[in-house]
Amino acid sequence: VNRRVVAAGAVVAVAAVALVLVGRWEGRRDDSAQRRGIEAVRRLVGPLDSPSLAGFRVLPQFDCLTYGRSGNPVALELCIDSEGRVVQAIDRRGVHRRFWSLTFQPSAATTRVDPAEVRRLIDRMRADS
Amino acid sequence: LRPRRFPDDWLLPATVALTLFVFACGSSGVAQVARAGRPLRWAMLLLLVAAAARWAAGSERRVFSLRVVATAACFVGLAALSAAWSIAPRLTLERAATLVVLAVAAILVAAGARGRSERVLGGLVGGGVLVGLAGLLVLALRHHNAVQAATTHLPARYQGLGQNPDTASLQLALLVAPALWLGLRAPSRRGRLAALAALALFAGSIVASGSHGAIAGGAVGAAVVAVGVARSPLRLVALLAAIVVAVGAGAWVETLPNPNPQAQPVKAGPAAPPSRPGYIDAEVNFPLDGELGIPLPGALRNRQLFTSSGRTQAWGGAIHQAEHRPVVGYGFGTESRVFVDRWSTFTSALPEESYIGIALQLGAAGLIFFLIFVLAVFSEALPSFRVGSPATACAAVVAAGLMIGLVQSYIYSVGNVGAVPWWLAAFLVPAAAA
Repeated sequence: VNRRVVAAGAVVAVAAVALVLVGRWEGRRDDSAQRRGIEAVRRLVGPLDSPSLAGFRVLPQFDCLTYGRSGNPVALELCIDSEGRVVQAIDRRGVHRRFWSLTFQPSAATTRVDPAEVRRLIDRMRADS
Repeated sequence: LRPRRFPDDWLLPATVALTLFVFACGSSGVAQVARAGRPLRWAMLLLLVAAAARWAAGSERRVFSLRVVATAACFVGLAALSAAWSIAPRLTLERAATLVVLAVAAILVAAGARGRSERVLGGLVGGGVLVGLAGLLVLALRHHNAVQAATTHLPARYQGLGQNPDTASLQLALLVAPALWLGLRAPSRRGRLAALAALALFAGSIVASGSHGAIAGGAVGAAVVAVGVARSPLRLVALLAAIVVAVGAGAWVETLPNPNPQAQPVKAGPAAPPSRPGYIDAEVNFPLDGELGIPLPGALRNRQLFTSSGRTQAWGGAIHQAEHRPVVGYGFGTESRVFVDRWSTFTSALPEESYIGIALQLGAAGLIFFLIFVLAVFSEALPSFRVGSPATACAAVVAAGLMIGLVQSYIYSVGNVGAVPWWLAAFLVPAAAA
């Protein structure tokens, strides 16, 4: 019985270690895919204050800037948190919208912009400011 | 069902009933009740563990199903282990800890339930009665809290004590099976009548809520009870026919109320300041929480029996997201953080599908571990199924819960009103069959 218990314990320990390794690898892979998508949209946008800047949205968790393409004023969108981290990017140029998001884990976002510039651009677009 | 010994035979069923009621209070649409119930439910869960420990200690022949406990430990262990890769490790540990406490309570209840599992069933039904009656009290005193007003695309729906029409009805749907079983098998006539009255209360509350998932769950539970208690094929056919008629009538009644085309939209705080010419406020025209599937202007959706509340679209999105971390998911308890509602026809912070919820949190590994646990529960019960065994009622609760899991995210969320009765019943199956 003792040998069985030891063997079962060893199997459980090995399985636990394997699960942790797989979980961390999956997390890193997903985070990096989201970061790549966000960075690609960031590059497509170019300068934040580009002539294609078409709109904004203000939300409790983050603010967003939208950029027009082919008459669509929200074709590209970048969402930036208060620390300047780009936590979400959306590409609406095609039939299918594509989302890349790290809103559930902003600390994993590596694409950064100047939060003061974002604030300034939003203020410029809002009639009350 | 008259208690034989004081207080052991009385204490646990009463604690179970009170636990169900306090959990329902924690999810109430009445703000004051919810404020009191939310912290109280965790104290109540600990009280349930204490009462269950006394209950188990007072049993002469304790039941311990290694198969069920080991497979549950694998699922709960995976939930706790997921803190190592979770996007929110602390949240994961907290949620896993509540699941551990509930599992311990359920194991202790089952351990002491040999020969008296019907008392636990009585406690479950008693809790449902408290919830159902409290709902009627809310209806009498605060109508606006008990009834969700009709919108331009949804009819008015009864929610009673619940936060929304699907809350209390979920719990009551799980309790249809034990109420029916007690209504057919309770030793005294008075006990049978009381159980059938409870069943009528549950059925009425479910139908008035307009919850399709609850009615389907209640039907599955009732059908399993019918299979378990029928002494002859003829009686089985009669019971199943009665269930089909009752469910059909309930489903038909659910389609009767109509939306209110003149309903005013709910005001969402002060209007946003306008944007300067040449710019748009994207949140006005393309709100992030509803930019997908915006209905065409003037489209009015009458709710029919198979009208989806936007769930199917949201499920597609959630499955797509689960594919990003397919093996072990984002971490237990992170479902509401990870899932983003982008659909105009869907309003929830969760995908409202327990199996997609498990896939999001624990990936394919979580789904497999959960399936193995469920199979272990039924494998313990099936060989011991006797005609009229209380194991039938426990298995029926599990089956009803699995059905409701298709349209609600709840099984693994201990704070949810449906989790406590489901896990108690799941662990009780082997004890009731013993």
